[in-house]
Amino acid sequence: MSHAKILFGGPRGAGKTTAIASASDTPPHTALAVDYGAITLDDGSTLHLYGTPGQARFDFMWEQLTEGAIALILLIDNSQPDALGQLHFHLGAFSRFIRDTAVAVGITHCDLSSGLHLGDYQHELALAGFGCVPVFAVDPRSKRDVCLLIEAALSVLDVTPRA
Amino acid sequence: MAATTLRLCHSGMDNRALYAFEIFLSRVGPGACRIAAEDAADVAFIDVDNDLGPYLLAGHRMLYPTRPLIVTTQAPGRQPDPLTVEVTKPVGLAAFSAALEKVRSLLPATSAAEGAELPDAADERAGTFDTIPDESALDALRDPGPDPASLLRRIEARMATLHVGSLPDADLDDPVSRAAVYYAPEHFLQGLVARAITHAREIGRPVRIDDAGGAALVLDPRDGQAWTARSPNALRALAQLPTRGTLHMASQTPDAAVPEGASPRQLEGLEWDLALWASRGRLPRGTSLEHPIRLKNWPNLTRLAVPPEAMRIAGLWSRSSLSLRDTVRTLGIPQRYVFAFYSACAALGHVEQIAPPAVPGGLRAAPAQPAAVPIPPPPRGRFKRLFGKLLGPRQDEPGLD
Repeated sequence: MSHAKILFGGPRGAGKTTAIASASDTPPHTALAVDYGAITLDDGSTLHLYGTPGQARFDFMWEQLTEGAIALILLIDNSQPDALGQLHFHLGAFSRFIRDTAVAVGITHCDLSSGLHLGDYQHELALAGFGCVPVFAVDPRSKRDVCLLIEAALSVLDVTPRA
Repeated sequence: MAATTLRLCHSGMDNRALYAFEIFLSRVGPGACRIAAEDAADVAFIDVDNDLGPYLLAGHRMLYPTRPLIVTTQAPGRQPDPLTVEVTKPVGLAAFSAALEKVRSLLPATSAAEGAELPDAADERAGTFDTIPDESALDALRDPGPDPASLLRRIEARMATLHVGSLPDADLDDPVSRAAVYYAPEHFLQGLVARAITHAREIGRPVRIDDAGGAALVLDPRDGQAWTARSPNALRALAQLPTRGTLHMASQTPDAAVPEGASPRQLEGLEWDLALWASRGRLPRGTSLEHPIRLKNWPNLTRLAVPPEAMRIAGLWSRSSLSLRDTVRTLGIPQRYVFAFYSACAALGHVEQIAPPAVPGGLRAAPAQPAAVPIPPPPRGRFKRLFGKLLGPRQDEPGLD
């Protein structure tokens, strides 16, 4: 039985808590400003989902939370006026972790703003040297959306043939 | 009034919920309907408030375009087509009986099952189950077994055939076999739509595509919107066959009304689907099997149909530049999965092939056998369990049948 840890990051209000609740098989809970949920796999293994507190004043916790994690799900609120700035900020904060593991970016609240398109985020990620990163429009309330985002991050890691 | 027993399939109830549902059905009236296998049902029963409900509904409609559906919801009013009957929760006997009667009126005369006699009216006596139990209340008691997610995986796995066809792997070293893996997008609706979009951008106005029945599509790249006047299944049928002059582009004045009954959808999703349907697991003519692929951008897979193994293919291409041939070999999956995904990505401009450098004398270098860029590998392979747990077509995963 194995365990893996996925980190959810992003600014406050981007939908981290909702996304973890949507994907989690168990009732999610929050302790010390950290959201937690879990997906139980068919063999009994568990995928632990941790949501980092969004406020910058908690950024001292972010590095600790990356300990043992295998991927970052970064949620960005497209309706915020400085959405690209938020992307840059969080890419910078998790830069080393991302380069060692994998990241997938979920753009939330796409229905509330038509200012930026997914291509704008993809362009910024490429300019920042992160290459071709999965960037999806995501409704954090949708289990399917959140699971696809997790799957995309893991697929970047998992390139081996099926047994 | 006598009626026949309706065969009804459900959308992934666990054993406990199914037991309660069967008790409820028995109170609707003996012989009114019975639970049947999905492929033998007259009507499907789907809870669209479940977080996977809308996908189950869409999948079921795609697989069974003429089958009536009964959908339960707390927020009625979203009736997506004339064959779908909405029932508001909590579902009572009278409302469910009325829905069954509506379904009967929608079925062809010979469709309903064995001819068992149905009593004149549903029994409305008070009983233990006079409404369908709320499945969510039973979540904590669920046993492992069919659930909406696994049912959705099954439906998506079957729908995958619609996306990637069923071509067996070809011997890519044999010229004749190799020729069979190519198609000409310009001969299909895919190519016509691509030309129409280019034209619409040039003239700054929507463009219409007509078939024998009149206006079939209106494409408006100004807001990335398409209007389809054909059902998804009719559109797929149109897209899978060469057009052979049966489809025509026509100009659409800016103030012209969209065709009656047309439904809107994102242009990107339409182009993606048309490419998958035309490709059916083949490659656009002229695609090299040997040149490395560069994934420029991931397609927005939360808003597009996800063909089998699309995530793994995109994940591989985002980490290293492999040829199509090497992609098939590396992932150990059918060629059609890779070729269909490549074709759809190419239609949206998400991939490009990296040509090998020219050599002196005007000759091209021999096709390279590019090696995967070595990347520090976290311990992978274990995620295939997760891929089975998460959503998306998993045709080759055990446990689907």
